[in-house]
Amino acid sequence: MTTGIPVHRSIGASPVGTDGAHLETLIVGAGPVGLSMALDLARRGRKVTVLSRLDFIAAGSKGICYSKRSLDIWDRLGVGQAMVDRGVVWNLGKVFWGESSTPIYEFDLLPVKDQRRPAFINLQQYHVEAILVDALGRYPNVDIRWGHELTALDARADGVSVTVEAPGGRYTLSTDWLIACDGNKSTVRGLMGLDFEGRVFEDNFLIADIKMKGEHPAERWFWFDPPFNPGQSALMHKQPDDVWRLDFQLGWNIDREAAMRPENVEPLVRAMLGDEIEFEREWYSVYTFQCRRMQRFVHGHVLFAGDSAHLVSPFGARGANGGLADIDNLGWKLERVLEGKAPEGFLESYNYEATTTADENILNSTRSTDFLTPKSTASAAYRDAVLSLAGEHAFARPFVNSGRLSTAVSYPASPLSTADEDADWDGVAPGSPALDAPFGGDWLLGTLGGGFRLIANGWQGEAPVPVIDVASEALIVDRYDLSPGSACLIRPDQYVAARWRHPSPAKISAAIARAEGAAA
Amino acid sequence: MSLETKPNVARPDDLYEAMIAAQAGMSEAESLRFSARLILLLINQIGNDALVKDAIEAAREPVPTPAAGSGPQG
Repeated sequence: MTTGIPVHRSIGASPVGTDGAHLETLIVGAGPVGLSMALDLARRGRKVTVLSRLDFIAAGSKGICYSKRSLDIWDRLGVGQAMVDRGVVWNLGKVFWGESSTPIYEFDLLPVKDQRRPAFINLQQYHVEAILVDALGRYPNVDIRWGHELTALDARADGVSVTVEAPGGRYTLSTDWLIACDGNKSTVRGLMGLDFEGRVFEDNFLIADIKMKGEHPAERWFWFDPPFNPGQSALMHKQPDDVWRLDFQLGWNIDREAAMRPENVEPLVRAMLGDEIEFEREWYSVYTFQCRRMQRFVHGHVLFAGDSAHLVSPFGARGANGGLADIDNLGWKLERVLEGKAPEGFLESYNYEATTTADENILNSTRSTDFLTPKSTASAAYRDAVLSLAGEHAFARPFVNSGRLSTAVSYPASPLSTADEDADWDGVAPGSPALDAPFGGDWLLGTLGGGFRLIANGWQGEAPVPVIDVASEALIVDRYDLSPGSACLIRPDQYVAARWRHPSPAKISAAIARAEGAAA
Repeated sequence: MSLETKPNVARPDDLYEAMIAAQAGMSEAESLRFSARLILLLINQIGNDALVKDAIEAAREPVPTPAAGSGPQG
């Protein structure tokens, strides 16, 4: 048994599985990514088994920031409202420099209004996992095996055999598909002899999640070189239940064990918030980070998603949100392969689109990290020049990089997209995520659901998919640039696949075939 | 538009003097920061990403190319 990990919710070990049983899909890992993957497949009616190494939901707070795109995905999975109800909503970031209490830069992360979801919610990872576990409990086609750990694996061309260690004994399983959502130290990746490529950053950061009655607003506050952590950066973020995430940059050559001891953490907290504050420790830890990914996420019948496949620095909230983008992309594709509607090669598009997303996340998080922790004299000089100009001159503020926060990634060159046949388009291009807007007392994204849909402005043809007519919705017409008679095809993961000024049933069918891998 | 590399200011000596005078008495670190602030202001004034990238390339000192046929020495 794993010990020493704080428990949020005890569940207890599941009984040992039937030795030699054969599964359709096995998900390894029960974090936000693995559980969301299970929920996506479960809602598509697929049978799915999840292995959770722990037999409880761990209490240590890890990921806290969930983006609008992740909320949109969770809406599609039926848990978005539960997440928002439990979380702290925020849209605004403020950046401070030095001793001044006036921010040098503010940013609104949801510049396009009239969408159902906010830019972000903050929510402890254990609350996210608990909501997902509760939702999965309503699906008889889902089997979560608590306290069951994958220890050996034989990946073949047409499936995977695994050995599982459980408190009641060891057993074997075979599965058509294995989805590795088992985190940055992925057992699956290790057993397959696969590794990451990319950069490791030499810096340490302290997380202090504390409980206090605070009056600070629900905003992301970031400091460069504050008096309470001179020469370093710091971050403060509100979580539910009066929990606050404080994050202090510590530098590279430090004693990590000593840095997370209460007698060393608490002076930093008091220096930041004032000697008089009363607080309780929720969770202290020191982390380092990497910006790296696997070269490929698809290895035969083993598919990698989330931190098992890619790692980023936390500045930008691109870790868990990047993982949720993976499962959003993979679910409908795997469903089509499982149903025999698409060839296995269709999953190559998951590899392409998910690595595209990972590369954008890694690029942004690497740039943020280089701004936060300059690696050369010149880099430090430019960083300080930007900060010193930003207070007085508006032009310098967009250069301030305290983290470029996660947004949905577009795939302009995706092989699943059909290129525009008309040149005069504005709006949402093929390969980009659908943009939300109010729709008939509801919301457009909520109306789209999880299959192919056609958003049309008064088009009268026979579409091979359900049509959502938006002729009376001026904002949607504007956001998608849908002149009368034109239409836009949306994928099951709510990305735009194609659009036409003059749609026809044949064009729509061809675009669906392309988006379902006909060109693979 | 391409990067202007022909003479384009009326009084080069005045500008050169002003730039040096502004940094008189500065330490190397102060001078580096001053230069960074100046460059950021000028980048924004140019307001053209491609031109700025061309200027960055043009600012690199050319690497001397070894004469044809010369190999490693010694």
